[in-house]
Amino acid sequence: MSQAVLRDEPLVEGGKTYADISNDVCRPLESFPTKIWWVAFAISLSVMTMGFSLIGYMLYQGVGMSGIRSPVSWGMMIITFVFWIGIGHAGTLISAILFLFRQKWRTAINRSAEAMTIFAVMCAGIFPLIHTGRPWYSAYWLFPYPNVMGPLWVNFRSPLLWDVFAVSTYLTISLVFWYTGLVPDLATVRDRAKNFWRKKFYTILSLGWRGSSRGWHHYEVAYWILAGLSTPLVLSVHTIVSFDFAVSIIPGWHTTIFPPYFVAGAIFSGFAMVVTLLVIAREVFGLKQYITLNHLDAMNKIILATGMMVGLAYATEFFIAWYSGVPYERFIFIQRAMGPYAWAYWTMVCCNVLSPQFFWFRACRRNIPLMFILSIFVNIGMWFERFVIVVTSLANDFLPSSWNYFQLSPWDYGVLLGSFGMFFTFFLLFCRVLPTISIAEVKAVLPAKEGEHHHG
Amino acid sequence: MSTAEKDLEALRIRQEQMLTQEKRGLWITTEEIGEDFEVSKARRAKEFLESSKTDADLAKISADEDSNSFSRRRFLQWMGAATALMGTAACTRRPVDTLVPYVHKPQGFVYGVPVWYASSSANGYGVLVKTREGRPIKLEGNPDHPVNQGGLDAAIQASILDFYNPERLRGPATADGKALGWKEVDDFMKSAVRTAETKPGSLRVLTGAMTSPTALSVLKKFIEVSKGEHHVLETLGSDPIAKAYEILTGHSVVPTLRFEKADVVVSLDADFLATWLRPLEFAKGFSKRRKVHFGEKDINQLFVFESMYTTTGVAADYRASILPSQQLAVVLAIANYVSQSIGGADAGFKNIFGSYSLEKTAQNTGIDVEVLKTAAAALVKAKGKSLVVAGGNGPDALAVQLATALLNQMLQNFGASIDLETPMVTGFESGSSFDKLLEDINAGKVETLILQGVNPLYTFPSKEIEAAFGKVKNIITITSEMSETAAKSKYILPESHFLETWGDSEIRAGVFSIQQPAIEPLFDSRNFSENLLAWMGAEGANDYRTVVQNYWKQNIHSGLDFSAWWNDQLRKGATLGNSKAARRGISIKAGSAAAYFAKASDVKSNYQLVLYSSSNLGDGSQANNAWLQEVPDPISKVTWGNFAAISPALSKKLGVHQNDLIELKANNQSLKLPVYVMPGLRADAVAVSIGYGRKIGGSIGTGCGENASVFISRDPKKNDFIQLSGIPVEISKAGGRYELACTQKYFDIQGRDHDILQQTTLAEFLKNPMAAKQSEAVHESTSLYRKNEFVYPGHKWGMAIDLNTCTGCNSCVVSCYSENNVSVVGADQIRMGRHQAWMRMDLYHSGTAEAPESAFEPMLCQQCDSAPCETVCPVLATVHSSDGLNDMVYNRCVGTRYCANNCPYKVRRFNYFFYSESLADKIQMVDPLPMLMNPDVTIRSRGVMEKCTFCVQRIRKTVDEHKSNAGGKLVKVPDGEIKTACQQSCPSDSIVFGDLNDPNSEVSKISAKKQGFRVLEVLNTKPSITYLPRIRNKGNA
Repeated sequence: MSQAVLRDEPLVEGGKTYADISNDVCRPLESFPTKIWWVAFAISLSVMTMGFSLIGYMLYQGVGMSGIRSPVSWGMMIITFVFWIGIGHAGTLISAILFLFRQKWRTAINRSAEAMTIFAVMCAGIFPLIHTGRPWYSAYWLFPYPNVMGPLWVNFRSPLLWDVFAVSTYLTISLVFWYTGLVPDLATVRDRAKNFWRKKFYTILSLGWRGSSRGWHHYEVAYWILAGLSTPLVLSVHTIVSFDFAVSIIPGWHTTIFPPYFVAGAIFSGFAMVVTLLVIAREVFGLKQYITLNHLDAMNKIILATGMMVGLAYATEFFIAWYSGVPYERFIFIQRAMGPYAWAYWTMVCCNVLSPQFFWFRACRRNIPLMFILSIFVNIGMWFERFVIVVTSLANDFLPSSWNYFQLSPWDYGVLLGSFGMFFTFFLLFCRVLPTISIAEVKAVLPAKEGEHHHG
Repeated sequence: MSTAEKDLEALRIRQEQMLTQEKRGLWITTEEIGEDFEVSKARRAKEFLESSKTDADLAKISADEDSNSFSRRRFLQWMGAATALMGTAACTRRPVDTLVPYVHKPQGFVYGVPVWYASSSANGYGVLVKTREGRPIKLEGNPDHPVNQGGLDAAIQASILDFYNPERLRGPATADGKALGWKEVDDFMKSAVRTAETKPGSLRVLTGAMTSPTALSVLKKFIEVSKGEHHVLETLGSDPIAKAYEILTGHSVVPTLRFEKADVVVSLDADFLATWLRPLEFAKGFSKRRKVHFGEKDINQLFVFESMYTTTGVAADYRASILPSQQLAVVLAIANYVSQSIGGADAGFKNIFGSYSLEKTAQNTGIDVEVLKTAAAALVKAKGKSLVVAGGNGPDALAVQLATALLNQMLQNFGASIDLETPMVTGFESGSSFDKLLEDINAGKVETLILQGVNPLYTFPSKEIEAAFGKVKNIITITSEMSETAAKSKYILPESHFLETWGDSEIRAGVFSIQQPAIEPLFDSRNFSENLLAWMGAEGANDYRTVVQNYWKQNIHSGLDFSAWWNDQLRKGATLGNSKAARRGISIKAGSAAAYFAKASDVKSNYQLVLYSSSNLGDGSQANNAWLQEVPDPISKVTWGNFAAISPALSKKLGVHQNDLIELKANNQSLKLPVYVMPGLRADAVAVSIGYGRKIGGSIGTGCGENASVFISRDPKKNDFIQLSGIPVEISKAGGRYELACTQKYFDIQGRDHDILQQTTLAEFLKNPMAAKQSEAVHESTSLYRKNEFVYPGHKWGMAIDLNTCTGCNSCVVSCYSENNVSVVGADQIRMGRHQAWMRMDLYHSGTAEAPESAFEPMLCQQCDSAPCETVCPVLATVHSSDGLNDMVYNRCVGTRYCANNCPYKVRRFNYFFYSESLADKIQMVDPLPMLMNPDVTIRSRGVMEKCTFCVQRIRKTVDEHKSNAGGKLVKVPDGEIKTACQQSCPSDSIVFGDLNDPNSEVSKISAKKQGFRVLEVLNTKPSITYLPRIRNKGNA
């Protein structure tokens, strides 16, 4: 779809040569970081440190530091887990599915999108672990390993166990895929390195890449296969995460719409996060000619499309609640829109359904400040979507005697913030040590000049 | 030769002797090696605390300990210490605890097998004390006791926590904390008694109501010897009733009430199912007539007129809210109707009650005339089989009691539902009033005052009384924990708990029970009588058992062999005997009663205050009990404090919401209390519970709520009795908020009655037992589950709960705390919604705010056959057992809390913190508190889920016993042999537990009843608990 739009527009602007590309992409790696990088890094690192200190304190005191309570036994940690897992999905979609569909415009953004996936999954992975009452056991009891306790196996019927497999598979494949794509670029950095240690470092990372045509051939095949392997993950991971809710019997959770609804939501939030990050990155690292307005325009279209899917899902949920005739489900949805958490529900609707509507207009899709603000709105909205799902369903379930009002504790806010600190810390480090744009792939889509051949 | 050398020499000689006795087995007793029998006895006493041990023995033992350099006990201590040190030196992960087994095991003792003792509680109910390895761990009702018949209330069950409370006083001391020896105290008191002999009336004893005949006889003797006087103080007492009967019969008695004999009960501000007089006994009798689901044909009918919404009000078939000042008007109006319509009422009654027309009263008071009329008509119809009770200590307490007694007389209830001949024993007649004591103190007559079981400076927090107490030279307080009064005393003497001392009780005339100790005193304490005996210099101060025995021999025993009879009584726990309290052949004479009705007081105030006794804390003496603070108030579900209950109409009028502070002003006192908006109250009434607001009441009790006793009217000139309700009060907004710690926040059932709590009326029910169901049950065909997925071989445990008899008294809840080591989390955690109770008492209101219809529903793990919790646990920490239990494996649990989310009943409890390490973070688990724990139930660590197990430890124990008796074969356990803790203590027998595979078991029969329903049956979780609907006896008049 977007190819048609982009056909007329060059994917790299400014008449760059192959050498320019290598120079531009490697510059942040080879020069002393800018002041703005240091400031951002210092803030992110402090926030991350605060988050981990709070987690440490929780390990000492007990998971009661969080706002969880009866009957809302899952709170900020599961909400944020689902949020980060969702963020990751855009990276996989961009790198795998768009690759398979030969969407050339992905080349400029796939590297950072994949990096974002990995950091998001890392952030996500912390939460299911620390949300348990005894993380020191759940760290390994959740895996089916041979043991002398019976032997005692895990419960293969539990969606939480499926989660363990889904998320660990996701992280592994994403990591391998990302790294495979990095190898030729790491070799480029190695070849440019003047410092001995720097050379050593990138030599090890580049796994002896020589750029031979045999190497390229194998590389292309491997990358293609990995893309194929990753593609189902885009659909499966969030489907399985949605099973955590859909398989239960709680009204508001127990619905069949959850898998597609969650996948759409994940891609929606992931693209919003990519926009947020790239708007910053192209500004800070001077990559405007590689990450062009065309790229952002295309991503905003996807945000608009997935946003409307999510909106449709919200409407469908209400319709089914009414249509099913189940009083408990009806009650939950009326509560969502008009009950004590109406503020959260309408925050979600405004951010996720209303705010992307601006992207119907080309001018809005190409307006950097606007898209930055809207992408942040979408991220807020998607966090609230999970809040609405997790909290409102649990807080007012079957027996009114148990109902309770849920609130986040100060600890929750701190750790939520800390996870963003971690995400940005890793992302900033990534920008410093690895090429943020796929040098090899961008060279391939460089508008061809007379008499030149594809290669770099 | 030094001592050590002497010992070595002795040891060598013994060793030689032992070698010559080779033919003997491995064990050689001390006698055999030539040890003096006396010495060996002393050693044994040192090892094991035998009940015969006296103070003299103790002194000898400690003396021995000093001179004898190395006792075996000390050796074991050293060994333990050395092992522990070795452990720490080796840097083990946990400190090593050494278990030291018995060297000489007491005869008949088997590890892990509980020993039960029949005894009696401090207030005279029959209890069974379960001991494990020599320590009491649980109190249960004695089924053979004629009064409580197996039931036991929350307060008595919780008293075992008082027993192990580390804050108990450990030895005699002065108010500023200086430790004393008993000798010092005794010397002082002996001389005080001698001084008192010369100055008659200078020594006074102030106690609460006493039911122990032996203690009363000792006290009587002490009063004689010291020429002193005995005074009785009881706030929530029955003194207006006793006074009324004194006027009517010439005898100051509180009659025994037999609710089981009443077809119609009318209660006027008497919360007889929870707080009024003997609720345990009343609930038992009352519930016997409510068992509509158990084939009982004559269902009773309850009318309640009350100024506060109480558990009795919830149980009512018809309820009307009144103002406390209308108590007299209501009873007179009913009496008026009865006197006119009852056949054979004598003309005297018509004259007495002639002027109090029912219609006019209804008009004046605003009480629903229909309810009044229905009640009166029902009473007339049930002549001789009805009961009218009144409580509340309102402005006309005496007149109300007189009118009630005459109404009962008209209805011919005396000799039927009211028993004057074997009255309750209250101990009032044995002493004069507290007012007289104050008078005498102020007149300078009192030098020495001994207090036991009372805390007047808390009960009547006024400057005058504090000043009066300041005038007494020697105040001696006998108490188990520090209190407001103890802090102002000269000496504070630790009192023994009923679990560690001999005693007896006579709770009703002729019903005697022995209180036998289940353990040696934990601390250096004595009971009340032991003190008095010591101070009189009488026999038996060191051997109170003999004193009790002698009393029983002389007064209760009949037949020949006393010692066999005595042992039999110890085993049974209760006996019937001739009583001094019995009043044969007394009768009611109306006499001058009518004169009291004319001078009914007129409360001129916009608002009236109702002070009611908290159904958990009673008068506040047990305020330092963490269980009783944590268990919610039955109606409001508020824990750890009190509140001002007002009606929704009044809250709107005042512009205040729940938790907003309001200021109450009455009797020149004022208090700021948080608002609780409660249905069923009059818009001009405000109700506050007493029993809270202790100033010196231990770590738990101090600072919980406010002491509403400041409002108690106690003016002997104006009123004969202390006035608890109908006190004129001013209400104003105080600004600010205080968040009450509630365990339930929503009481509206949201139209889910059919799924959650089915209710109907008796008339409907008799027409169609399925009336409460409203619609058809789940069609099997709609289920996605396979039918009969699992067939249970052997047993299949199940429960049935009768919502029609459940009174919401919390007895089961506390029983569960005690049996299952449930943690106390404290107010802050409860505010968040982190209550740990395995069993909770849900309450739902329907009807209107003015005339609510409510029902309790005990909610615990439903042990579903298709349990939603089991499938979602990733680590298989909650699994199904082959006998139908939903097992919880604590040490496998990692705490994902997914099970709790997926439980539709929300009965799973999570250890968010290390709750089991302390009582609400206020009292740490230090000695002797850990001894309280039931060793059969795991103490849960932080981060794990817990829930009701159907008392799996009881099931396994009984099943295994039968199995091993049958040579390892699984055999059916006879029905009724296993009782869960909640079932055992239920005063109304609302809980039945048993085997659902056995078609003849009681639980099977009840579960098969058509009207039985499962909560949220629509979810097809297949719960093992069947509930029987609440049936209101209405609409069939």
